[in-house]
Amino acid sequence: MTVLIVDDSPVMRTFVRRVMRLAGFGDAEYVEASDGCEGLRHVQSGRVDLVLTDINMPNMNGEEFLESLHASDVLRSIPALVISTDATRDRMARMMALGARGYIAKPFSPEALRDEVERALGGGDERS
Amino acid sequence: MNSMVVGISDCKVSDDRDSVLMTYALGSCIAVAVHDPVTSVAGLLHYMLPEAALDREKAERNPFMFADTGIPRLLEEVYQRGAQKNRLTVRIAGGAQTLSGHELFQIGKRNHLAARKLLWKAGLLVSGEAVGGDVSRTVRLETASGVMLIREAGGQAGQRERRLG
Amino acid sequence: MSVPESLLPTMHDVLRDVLEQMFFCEALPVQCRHCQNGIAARVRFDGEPSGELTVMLSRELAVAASAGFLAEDNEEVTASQLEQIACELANIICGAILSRLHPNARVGLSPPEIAAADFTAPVHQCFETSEGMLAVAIRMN
Repeated sequence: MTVLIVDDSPVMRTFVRRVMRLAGFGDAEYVEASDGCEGLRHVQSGRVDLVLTDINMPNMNGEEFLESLHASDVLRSIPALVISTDATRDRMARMMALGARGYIAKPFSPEALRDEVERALGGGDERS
Repeated sequence: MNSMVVGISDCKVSDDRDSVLMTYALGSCIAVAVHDPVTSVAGLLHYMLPEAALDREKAERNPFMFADTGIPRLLEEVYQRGAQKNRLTVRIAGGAQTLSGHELFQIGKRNHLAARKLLWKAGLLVSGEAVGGDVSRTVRLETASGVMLIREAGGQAGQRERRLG
Repeated sequence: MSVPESLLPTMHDVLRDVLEQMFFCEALPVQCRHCQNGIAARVRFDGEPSGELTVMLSRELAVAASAGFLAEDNEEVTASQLEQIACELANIICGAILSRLHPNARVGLSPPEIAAADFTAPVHQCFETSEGMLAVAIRMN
């Protein structure tokens, strides 16, 4: 399994990667991107099985990134979760309408992220 | 059933499937309970204070008094008995508010945050917590099944018992 | 733009949640005691409302918070990580305050950047932690 983490903060990517490794995704491969453009290139390479994305990023933000995934019949099937400081109702509704399977607002504890990933993936069947 | 009592500033580990680890009167102290369901190794630590730097001499004599010396020792001991990190269930209880409350930072909360910080550093996520409030807690951990029971007494809720995690 | 009455209580709640959940440290609001040797980061926000938020941390707190967040020892934290942590703290605090105060608004955040400390903002609150001091300053347009 390959997990893509998209966030313009390197330390936030480190935190999320650590949570995922400790939450039972220790055998997964991790790739990282600092904006939606880079994230899209990884996804188009065909190797990504799960996306965790921030929203506020330069170049291409997380909403534009999910729009690109959603527009493709192939890419829209990749599960995506949003990890963002933006917890406004409008934004959450738009991201879920673009196919996000989960949404967690910063700040969150490591356990809360684990629980949201498990809930969004339906109990962890996708773990390798 | 072999009852092993963990006192204040104490820690016990067992791989005896007939044993139950227990600790009483958790106020502001924290109990850290770990269990490996495959090898049935269980460990229970009851510590009083967050950092050994508060009293290095006491930490030398008894590392289980402090979170930052006790938690690593607890984990070392369960791993030595055959527990594996990626199978370990970790739960914490305690960290209640004390009545004195003169200090700026309540010791119960400091103890709780210390446990979470050290477990995160040790590469472990917590699967259940019974912390805070103004209740006294008793913890019972079964080595065979990993079932953890918490009894809470005092405070607004009276007395109640529940399974954790 | 007038400052909402709920801003300071919201700021207190956000600081508590951010520092406890992600940095494992308790922050309590205190009378201001400015530290001069710290690190500061700023985020600008646009929309309804707009303005800027600056977070200032004492060096000791920046090191301890970074070590906690990254699951490292204090000695292992690099200068670059300290700056990234300060920036991400500003980002999270700003986003969380705005989302809680204005859940129906559309507000955009600029990328956070290292900045000079702001001791004269109209909204300013200091917090004490067991590791050092932190202050949050907000200017609304």
